[in-house]
Amino acid sequence: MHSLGRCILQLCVGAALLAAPALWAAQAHAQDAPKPNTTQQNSGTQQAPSTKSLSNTAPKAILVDPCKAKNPPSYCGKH
Amino acid sequence: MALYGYLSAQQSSRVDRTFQFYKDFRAADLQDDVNLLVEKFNAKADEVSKFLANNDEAGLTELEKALLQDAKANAALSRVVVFYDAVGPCVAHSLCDADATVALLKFQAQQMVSAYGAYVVSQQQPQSPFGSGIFIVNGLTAPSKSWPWLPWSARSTN
Repeated sequence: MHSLGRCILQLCVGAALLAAPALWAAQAHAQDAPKPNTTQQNSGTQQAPSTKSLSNTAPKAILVDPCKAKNPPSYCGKH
Repeated sequence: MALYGYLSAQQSSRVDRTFQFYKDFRAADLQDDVNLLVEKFNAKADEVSKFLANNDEAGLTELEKALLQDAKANAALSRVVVFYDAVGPCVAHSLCDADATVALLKFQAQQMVSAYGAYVVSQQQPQSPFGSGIFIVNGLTAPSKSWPWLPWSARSTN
């Protein structure tokens, strides 16, 4: 009974020792992450509006994709 | 514990490095280059379909070459290929994170390989790494389920 208690204690201590650095690393990583800038900057000069529309910058899809064809060209499998 | 911390830091720097590439991709307006190239390719969709139906890879290569006679398109493809020539070796040597690369940079590489892969291959020279990066990124598979701190257990890029 005594040895069982000691065994459980060792397991708990071991688990705590393993978990502590994981929590520490996660916390450190979260602190390192850049915070979003929610404040408006009043620099005095107004930025010109972008001439790009959403449809210009959105990725375009390929209409006929050779690599998705039944017999794709050899370069599709090249690495 | 120290090993865990070391591996975590390594993994974190790999992801950061990949994200830096993604930021460079956005900052350099490479998406505009990709869009221009895709639009040019789509304009020839009918011809592409015919070449594919006839398994005419040489014809497809000639079509790509013709599309890239346009200096603007040629310059755009050069910028994209050179960019991926930096990303490819980075991920191939586990200096960048493969899963992050798939999430952030694979789609555009896939499009470029589909549309201009034959031309890029035709421009490659033996003993030169030119044009290999885009194929490395294109060949990456979906995010792995392996332990992220052990990149050598994750997957092969080949």
